Amino acid sequence: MVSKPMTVKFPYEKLETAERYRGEHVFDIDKCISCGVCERVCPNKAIEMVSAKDKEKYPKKYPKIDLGKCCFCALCQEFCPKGAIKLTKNYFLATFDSVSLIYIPDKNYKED
Amino acid sequence: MKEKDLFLYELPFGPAHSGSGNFHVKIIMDGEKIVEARADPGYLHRGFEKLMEYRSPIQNAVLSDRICVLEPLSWNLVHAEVVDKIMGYDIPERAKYIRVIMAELTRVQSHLIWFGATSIATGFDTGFKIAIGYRDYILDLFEMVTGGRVYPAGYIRPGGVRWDFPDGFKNKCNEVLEKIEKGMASMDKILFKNHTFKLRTKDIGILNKKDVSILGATGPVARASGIKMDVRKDDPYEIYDNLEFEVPVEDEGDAYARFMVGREEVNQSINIIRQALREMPEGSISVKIMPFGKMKEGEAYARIEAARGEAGMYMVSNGKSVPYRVKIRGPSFLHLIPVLQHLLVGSQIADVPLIHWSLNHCPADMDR
Repeated sequence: MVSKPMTVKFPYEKLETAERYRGEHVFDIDKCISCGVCERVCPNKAIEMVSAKDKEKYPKKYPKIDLGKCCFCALCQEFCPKGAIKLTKNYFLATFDSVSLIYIPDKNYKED
Repeated sequence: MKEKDLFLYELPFGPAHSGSGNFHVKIIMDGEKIVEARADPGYLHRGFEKLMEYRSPIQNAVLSDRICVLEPLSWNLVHAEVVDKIMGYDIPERAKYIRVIMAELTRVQSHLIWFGATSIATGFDTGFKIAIGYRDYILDLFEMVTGGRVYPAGYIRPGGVRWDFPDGFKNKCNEVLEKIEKGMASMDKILFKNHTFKLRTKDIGILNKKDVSILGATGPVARASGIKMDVRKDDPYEIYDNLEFEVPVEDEGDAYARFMVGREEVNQSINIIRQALREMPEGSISVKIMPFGKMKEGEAYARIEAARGEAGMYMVSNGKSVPYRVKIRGPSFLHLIPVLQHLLVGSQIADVPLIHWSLNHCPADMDR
């Protein structure tokens, strides 16, 4: 009766997510060697290798990630030989616009 | 048509109802009594058996989470076991302990959902909130270990497990187990030993001992009817033959007996987790696996004791990187079609949700 509630008051208080939480991806294009393992290992075919916008600096193909198709299994992170793809703790991914979930390989990392 | 048949009417139960996946039962009623029940499954068919033919075992491990939302790690374990058998992997001892601990935690949280949904079926919402609240402590553990609260993303996978336990897991797990024991004690008080709950669930949905094998019930449903069967004892996998635990059995075969079997299983699971945490050796957690390697030729069937009964998977490989054929045996298939149809006949309309939930079903693993 008088014990503390099990829940927290969400927008004002947040529970800390675990270190291993699999959320939004970050991609470091300078580390990527364009091996294409992430594309092959992705179970949902959410990753496609495309050319970057800045073709002179980055002439190879790099992963374009569609978070709308992603199941957040972190296999791309696990098998990436250079650690270029990482899954962060960010889980606020709800959007009204499906295009904003397609992450292109360039630095800004969001399609305009 | 006889004159009496004019008074029969059809009542659909489902397809959408609270606390479970979509599943429809057509019930023919005579007044308040059920004359005939026909299960009408198929609302949750997602075609896992076919999808698995296009994916490598590493990817299938991720896919196998989705077979049953309420106990993804058990289905990870079945899939991992069957691929281990085909590939002949020698699983490291530590990985086996981790697999067992995670599988038993899954059983506890799945049973808590069961008790919660049962409370709703009897019109007692507070029980649901208590059960789901305590379940969240286990989900915290899952988040800590696998990175996801519900879906572990193929945490138990062919060759071992994906990640080792993080630092401080042992202490946190022991704390959570104590909390769960406290929670179960309060569930005992308000639910299992409650006089009203007993009145409501005793002598309802009785499954006789001789019908168990005819209708193909397994797991807690069979054990509540006096049949001592448990894959963990009969055909031990992983490290279950080194662990000490008992298989709870009740003789009545009614809804109350099924809940009491589930209640005792939570105690046994907590006991197993404590033993495994104590005896867990150090060492590697996985054999070396190639993400795009070819599978060996052959076929295998693996079965485990999931929270709902016997979960099995049969796999044929013809030497390619993807399996040739996969067949999944969900325990709820037989519980929800023959057993439910058998139990509903002759019962009252008000008991339908209770009988439905006393079978500890998951329509997702029935439809696959």
